[in-house]
Amino acid sequence: MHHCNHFNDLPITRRDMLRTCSSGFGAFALACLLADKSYGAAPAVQAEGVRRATHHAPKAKSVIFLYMDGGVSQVDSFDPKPRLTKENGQPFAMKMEPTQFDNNGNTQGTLWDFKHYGESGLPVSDLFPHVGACADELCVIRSMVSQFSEHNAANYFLHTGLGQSGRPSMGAWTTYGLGTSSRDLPGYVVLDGGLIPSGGVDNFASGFLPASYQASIMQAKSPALPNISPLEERPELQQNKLSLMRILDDAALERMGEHDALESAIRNYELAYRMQSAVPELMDISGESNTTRELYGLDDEYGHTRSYGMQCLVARRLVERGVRFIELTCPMIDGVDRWDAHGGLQDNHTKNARAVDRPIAGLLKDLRGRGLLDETLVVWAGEFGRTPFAQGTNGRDHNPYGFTIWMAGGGMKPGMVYGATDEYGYKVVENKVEIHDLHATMLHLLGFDHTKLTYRFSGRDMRLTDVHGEVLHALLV
Amino acid sequence: MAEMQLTFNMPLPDSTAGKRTVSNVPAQSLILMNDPFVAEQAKAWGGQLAGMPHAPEERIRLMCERAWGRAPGAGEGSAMKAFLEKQAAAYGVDATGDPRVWSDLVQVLFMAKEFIFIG
Repeated sequence: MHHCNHFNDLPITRRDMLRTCSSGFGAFALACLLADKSYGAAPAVQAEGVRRATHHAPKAKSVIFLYMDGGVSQVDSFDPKPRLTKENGQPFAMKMEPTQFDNNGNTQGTLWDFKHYGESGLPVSDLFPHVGACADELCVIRSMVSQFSEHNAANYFLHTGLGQSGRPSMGAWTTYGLGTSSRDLPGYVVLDGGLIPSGGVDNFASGFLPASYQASIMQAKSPALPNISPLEERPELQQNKLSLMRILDDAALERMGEHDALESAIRNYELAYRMQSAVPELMDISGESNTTRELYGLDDEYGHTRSYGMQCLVARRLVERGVRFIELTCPMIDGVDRWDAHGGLQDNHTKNARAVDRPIAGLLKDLRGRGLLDETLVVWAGEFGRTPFAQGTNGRDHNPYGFTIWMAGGGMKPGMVYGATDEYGYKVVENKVEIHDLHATMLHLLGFDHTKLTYRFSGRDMRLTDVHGEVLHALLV
Repeated sequence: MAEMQLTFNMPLPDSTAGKRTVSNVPAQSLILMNDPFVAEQAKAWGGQLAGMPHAPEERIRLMCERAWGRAPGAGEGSAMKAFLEKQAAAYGVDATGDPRVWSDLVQVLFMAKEFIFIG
C-alpha cells in the first residue's frame, strides 16, 4: 500500500530511512528496555523542562486557593457596616453603579451578627464562627477590587490576570516557576467539590505555557480520578505495554520534532503510571486520627461540610506530598447557586458558609499544628463581592468596587486588617488592592519577582501580572 | 456525557462553545491505559488479528497502516515484534495466535502519541 503522506508534513526520505535503520534506533530502544526495570524510572522527557531558580528566598512552598464561587457578600462576612444596618430599608444614599440585573432595591443591612475574635479583635459574622476563631492567623483585605462585574470575565481575571480566556492560570505560573517536588502527582491540582467556576476549565489552563502546567482536576473521594486502577492482572503486563509505547513515542518525537503538546503528552503517561499508586495512597485517610477527622468536619451532620472537609484534608495531604498549587472549588448545594445570591441571601449564604466554615478552620489549625502553615499560603477569595443595597427584596447583586478576601500563612502578617470600604461597604476608599497586586504578592511569597517570571509569547515577555501589579509589602512578615 | 468525552474536551451540549478547549492531562493518559471501553475496542481488533493467517510482521504492518496511516519504520516493527514475544512469555502462551497478546499491542498503538497527534 502506498503511503499517502497525508499524515506527515514530509514524506520519510531515503536519508531518514537509512538514518533510522543504521544509527542504532534499535540499540536505543534496547537500552531503554534494559534501563527500565520498572517503567517510568527515567523519564524520556525531562519532567521539569528548565528548572528556574527562585529570584529570592521564598516564604511559601505551596498555595491552597480556597475559591469562593459566585461572590461572597463582604458586609455579611468580614466587613461589618453599622451604617448599613441603621439605614436598612431606606433608599440607598450613594449613587448606584449599573448592576447585572438592574433590579436594585433599598439599603440592606447585614442579616447576621458580628463578633470580635482573638487578640486581634477581628470582627467576623456568624456565617464563619469557626474561621472567626482562627482570626489571629488571618490577614483580611477589605479593599479588593475587580475590573469585571460578570462571572466569566471576573473568574478569568481572578485566575489568569486577564478578563478573557486563553492566559495561563495562577497555578500554571506557579508550577512553571517552581516545577513540582512530587514525581508522582501533578504539580497543580484542582480538588473539585462539584462546581467548576463560570468560564469553565479555562480558569485552570496553561495558556501559552507548556501544556503540562495545566491543572489536573480530581475529586476528594475515591476514585479521585476515573480509570486510576490498571486493568492488567499483573504490573508486568502493563509495564511491557508502556515500554513499547515509549519506544514508539521516541520515534515520533524524532520524526515530528520537539513539540510541546507531544512532549507533555509523553510526560503525562509517565505521571499517569505513577499516579496509579500515588492517588489511591493520597486518598487513603485511614491513617488519620479521629481528632483530625473531627477537625475537618468529616463527622458533621451536614453532607456538604463532610465533603468540603475531605477536600481540605486532601489539600493538606497534597501539600505534604509536594504539590505546589491546590485550588478547591465549591460544593454544589441543592437550591442555591454558588455564593451568587441574587435572591434568597439568607438561605444561600447560610448553606454555603455551613459547608466551608468548619473545614477551613480545621485546615488552618491542622496546618499550624503540623508546622506547615508558615510555608503554605492559604488564600480565600471569590471573583467579586456583593452590593450593600438589595437586589429585589432579599438578594444582592455583584459588586466589583469593594470586596473582601483573606490570606493566611506562607509569609503573610497574621491577625490584621488591610484597606477599607466606605461606610456602606460599597466602594474602596483606602488602600485599594487590584487582582494584579494579589498575584504579585502570591508570586513574591513563592520566591519570584512577578516582573521577572516571564514567558516569551507573541513577541513579548508575558507574565501573570501583565504590566501591572504591586507586591503588598505592608502585609508581609 | 461519557467521562471519556468530557476528558477529551467535548463541549457540553447545553451551551455553545466558541472554541473548543484543548487540554493535555494525565487523566487522558489514564483513559487510554485503563478505561474499559478502550480495552474492549483493543480486544475486538486484537481478536481479529490473532486469527489472521499472515506472518506477525505482515500483521504489524497492516495494524500500523490502519492505526497510523503508514507502514512502521524498521525499528518500530522490530520493537513491536519483540513486544509480542515478551508479552506472550509473560502470559505463558504462543505469540502468533493469542488474542490477548495482539489486543495488548493494539492498545499500545492507541496509546502511542502518533495515534492522536499529527506531526
